Amino acid sequence: MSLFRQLWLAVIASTVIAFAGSFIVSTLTARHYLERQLAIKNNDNAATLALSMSQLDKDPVTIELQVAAVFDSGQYSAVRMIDPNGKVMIQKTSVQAVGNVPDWFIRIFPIDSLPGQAQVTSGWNQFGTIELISHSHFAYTELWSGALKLLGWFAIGGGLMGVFGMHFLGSIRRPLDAVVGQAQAISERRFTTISEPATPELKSLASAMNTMVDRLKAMFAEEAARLEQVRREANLDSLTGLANRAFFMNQLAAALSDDDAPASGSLLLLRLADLAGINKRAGREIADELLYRIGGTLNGLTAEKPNAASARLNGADFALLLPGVQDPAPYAEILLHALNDLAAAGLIDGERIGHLASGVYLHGQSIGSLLSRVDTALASAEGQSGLAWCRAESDSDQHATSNADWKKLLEGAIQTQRLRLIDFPVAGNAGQLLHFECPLRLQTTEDGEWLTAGSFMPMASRLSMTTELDLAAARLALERVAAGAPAVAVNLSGESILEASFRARLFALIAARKDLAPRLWLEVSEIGAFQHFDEFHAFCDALRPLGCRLGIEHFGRQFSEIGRLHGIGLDYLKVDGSFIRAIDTQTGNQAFIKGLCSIAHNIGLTVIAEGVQTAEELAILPELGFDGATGPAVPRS
Amino acid sequence: MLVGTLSLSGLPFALGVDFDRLQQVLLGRFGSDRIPLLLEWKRMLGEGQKAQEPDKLRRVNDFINRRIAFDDDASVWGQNDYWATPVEVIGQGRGDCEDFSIAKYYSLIDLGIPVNKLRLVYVKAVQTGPAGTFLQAHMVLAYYATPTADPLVLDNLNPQILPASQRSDLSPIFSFNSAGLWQGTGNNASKSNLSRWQDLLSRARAEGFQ
Repeated sequence: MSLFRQLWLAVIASTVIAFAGSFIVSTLTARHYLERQLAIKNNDNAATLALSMSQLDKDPVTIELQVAAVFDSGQYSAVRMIDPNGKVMIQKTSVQAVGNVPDWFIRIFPIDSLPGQAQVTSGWNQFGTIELISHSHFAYTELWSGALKLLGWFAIGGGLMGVFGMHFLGSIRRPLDAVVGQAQAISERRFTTISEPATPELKSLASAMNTMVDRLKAMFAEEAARLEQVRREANLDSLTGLANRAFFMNQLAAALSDDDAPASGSLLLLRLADLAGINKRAGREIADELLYRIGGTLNGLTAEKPNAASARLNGADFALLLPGVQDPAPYAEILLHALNDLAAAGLIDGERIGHLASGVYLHGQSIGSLLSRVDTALASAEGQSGLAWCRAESDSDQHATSNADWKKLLEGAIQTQRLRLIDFPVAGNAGQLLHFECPLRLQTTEDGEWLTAGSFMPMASRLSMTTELDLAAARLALERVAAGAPAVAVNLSGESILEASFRARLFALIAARKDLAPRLWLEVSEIGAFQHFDEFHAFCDALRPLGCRLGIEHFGRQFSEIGRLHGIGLDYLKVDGSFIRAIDTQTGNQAFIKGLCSIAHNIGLTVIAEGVQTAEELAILPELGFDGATGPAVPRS
Repeated sequence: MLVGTLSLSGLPFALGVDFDRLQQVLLGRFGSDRIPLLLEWKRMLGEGQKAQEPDKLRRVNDFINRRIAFDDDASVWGQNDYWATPVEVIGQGRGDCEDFSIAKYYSLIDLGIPVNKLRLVYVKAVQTGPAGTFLQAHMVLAYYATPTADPLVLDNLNPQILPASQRSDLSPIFSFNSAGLWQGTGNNASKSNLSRWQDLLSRARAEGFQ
């Protein structure tokens, strides 16, 4: 039985016991008092009658009349005259009238009217004993009305006590609920703190739990900071803070092959013309300063654009990857400008500054052909002056579609539901299916081409049309689950979960099929989740009660934010493919991934590797702590 | 309560007197001087247990009449009319006509005389004084050998036990005993509600007269 119910029962029981107790005590006391009064009255009246009879003639008529006169006053249920030998001489009795007092009450609380006796004498001789018994009906009436009054007062008192009790229990319950909620949250590995209640017992409990949570958070933060360091060392160039070559290649491969990557993008390469010369002439410190400044410029560019990545490929070579950007010219201009500034500042010799090349790629192209195209362009730039930029030739013509066309295309597809989910298996370590990851596909026209999510979602996001697509995806996923799929994961875009109306509609959609919810996995990309973390938190709070699984995909680059995840009740993380590529050989990333998995497990998250390309990569994942994997190397069972 | 019910059915009044308790009460209220009188009273009662009823009457009447001095309530108790319990009578060694009658009543009950044979009787006594005869309110104890018999009168004015028919100086007004009497709970707080007689009964019970 819940504590609250027990407290309630205690309030009710104490009211009932108090009533029953005082009812019995007061009724018995009143009864005793009334009985005594009756007995005294009987005695007194018997004595008075006996005294007057003793003084008068003892002829039968006088005696009879005297007895009758007393009896006819109506107050007596019996008047008897008993002679000295115990024989009844005169007896008059009447039946009690008890008015409106119920019989059961009289049975439970009988009132004994003790007879009053007195001796009647005739001179020195005994004449007899007079015995009087009063009616007790007035006493019953008195007792009954007293009991009714008591009941009335207790009804009022009990009601008041109930109101006070409710209020009182409410004030106990609020802090208690908070503490219980915190305990539940901790058991679900959500580490939240609560404000300490005023009740001393609960206060110390809450404060102990808060302290524990704070300590755990601090531990996580420490561990996360350490791992962040490991991640930087493994993947970043220590001087410039840009990605190193290996990591950048992973990112580039993901941009070209990942299903939800944009359909096209740009790659820029920058080569300093004479780094060795600067090193020799101006010294190592100046050269480092130069590299550091270029790194700063590139970092500034990528920070503004979510999917963008930049790297220092080797000594004097830098790269900038801009998925979704079809015209690299503005970025090239910025870089040229930055190089000019560096030359003006005297860091670079004005004759030999550096060279830029840019190229536009389409999703699905190979890394090799893209790099060789841009390298060719770089070579031709180097053939020009001290500072030059060349565009690589494009493999194919870009069919630029205008915003208005996109809007029409998307609306048409949504209206006619030319949408479907495709599926990729996500398998656990033992090869068992965890769920199907199901990205959305959209058909441009009837019988037309089916577009990948990467090619239409960026446009949908620009046109604020993601909510309809995401709802359609969730609906299709529910249909799949209903049709028998064991579990289905769908991606939701960060823009959609910003909108409260979307969250409400999604909630209603899933709530209508609450039985299927545990088999529905909903994921948001790392960028979407952390850019508007409060809304993401609200999204998790809203959806968690339904029982569906919540996760973050493409996780890893903002690893240092992992500390924010333990309060929100996530179920899983999918680690970005750029950390997984060639993981079997990259020991630096292995250390980082091991730590990531361990932290994630500590806060109750399942960890899944994305974009697993080779059997070797797949084989090492369980050892690193992954719970599951997806990607080309994961077999369709 | 129980005592009243018992005597109602005509059974002997008492199961006995708690002498230890009486002695303590006496010691506490009147000091050790009065213990000898109590012991003498106790011995008299002890010796009288086996005697015939007329003999019991004589022993009690003589003992009380001889060992208790007559005095009025005003000088003994400082009150106009006070009914003393036997212990108080022994303690004071003095008493008026009610105190004599009550002490005799309790003594006879202790000796096993059924309560329904005894009556305390208010009488009008004709007294002869220096200024001639006068009437006096008085109380005596009457003993009825049978319910309809001529009672024997135990009196302190005339120490001889005589049939009522030979006591023309006394005319009875009203008689009572403790039979059929509701005696209350013995709770002191309720005393104010009781008659003088009931008050006395409850005080005597508290002192050890069961």
